[in-house]
Amino acid sequence: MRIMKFAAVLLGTSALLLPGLSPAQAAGGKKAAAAYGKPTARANPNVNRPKPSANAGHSAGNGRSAQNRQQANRPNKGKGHNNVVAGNTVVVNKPAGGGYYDNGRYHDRPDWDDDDDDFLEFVGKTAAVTAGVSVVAAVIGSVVEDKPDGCQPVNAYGQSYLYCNGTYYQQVSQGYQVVAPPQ
Amino acid sequence: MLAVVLAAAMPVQAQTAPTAVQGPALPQLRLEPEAEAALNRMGTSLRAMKSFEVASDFTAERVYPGNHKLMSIGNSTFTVQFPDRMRVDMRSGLTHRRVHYDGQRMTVSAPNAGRYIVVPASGKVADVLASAYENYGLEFPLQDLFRWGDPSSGVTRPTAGYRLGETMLGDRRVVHYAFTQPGVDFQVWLDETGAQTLPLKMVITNIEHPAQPQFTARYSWNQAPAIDAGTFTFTPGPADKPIAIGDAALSGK
Repeated sequence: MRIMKFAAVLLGTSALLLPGLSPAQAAGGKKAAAAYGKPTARANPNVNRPKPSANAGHSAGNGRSAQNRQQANRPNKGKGHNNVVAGNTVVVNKPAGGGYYDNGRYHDRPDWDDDDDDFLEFVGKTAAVTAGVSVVAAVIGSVVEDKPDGCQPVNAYGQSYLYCNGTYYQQVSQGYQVVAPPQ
Repeated sequence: MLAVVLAAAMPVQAQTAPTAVQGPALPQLRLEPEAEAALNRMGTSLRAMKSFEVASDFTAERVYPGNHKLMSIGNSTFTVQFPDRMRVDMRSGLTHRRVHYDGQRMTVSAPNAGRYIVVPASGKVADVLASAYENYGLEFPLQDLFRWGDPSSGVTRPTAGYRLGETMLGDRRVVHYAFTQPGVDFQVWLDETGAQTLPLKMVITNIEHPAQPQFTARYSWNQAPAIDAGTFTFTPGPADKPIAIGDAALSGK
């Protein structure tokens, strides 16, 4: 019974999605796929992540595993990153290859088929972050409803964290709350 | 009728927990020397070219809740003149992005949107691609083809690799190789008939996620491209508007 219901939902989704596809919807994969929700994973267009270049000040954190990411990007530990904990704000100097924080929300890297203007806005904002024009911050205590992309589970000092693009979160009833890095 | 067929084909796990279904492991994990050598030969061949143009048709899957996958299709053309000139045209959906790199600056433009961003960049193409990823979140398909066999590139050595044999790809005779490394399986089909070993097809499977989304690409190579003086330098059209980096500043909260 559950299987039949599942199949029916799937067919209904396809029927909604395909015939009425307008050029505007087709312009962005995510918009066309609104019925499917938010992507949870993507194909890798490259086998290896690019090697950090020597002149990038925040180049750590290209490791694929939770352990690598945790150590490489852990604020105030080691060198090669500019993360700072100040007051109640974790200032995250944009994780390599990732998106940026604005107003407490994480903006993920767009896909190649996302809207051109959104894409250029993203490039402009990450360029601003890289150039030091902007301060990006994930405010401790702020809660996002949706699980950010690119999260790795991390256990430290008896607590469970989600480490997502340079910021630590813990699950709360309303969603995911930005917390101070475990240290 | 279709519903019945679909229901029959749908694994029960798909509607419950999205955990990976682990089948039996490969009977052996071995990096065959000839497979590793082929990968390195490909990287060496690519780096030995002074200039090239490579066009690709690619597909990229995204995974949605319930492990449903949707595929986007696109195409790209890379024109490269080593060491420090590159132009990329990338189309997917109805978008079109261009990247010009002339050795001094990189311009990212979207011709349909009539806007562009200029950012400072210098050095070798491989370094510019790496910093574009770090600094601007730009990830270019194809860029890691150039890293195999280069000791300084820091690529992960595959944990297993096999030469699977020869096959025809269109009218070309190619050799099929498969590799696996943590989080990623990948396959390449190499044209080994000429002086250079060039990839004509590649499949990359993300095995970190239970739905295993794939990226696939077919490549066609031009080792003697016609490159004119303006190929690598962006020239804005009369209606094109620059985006100043300062204008794109964040709210700062």
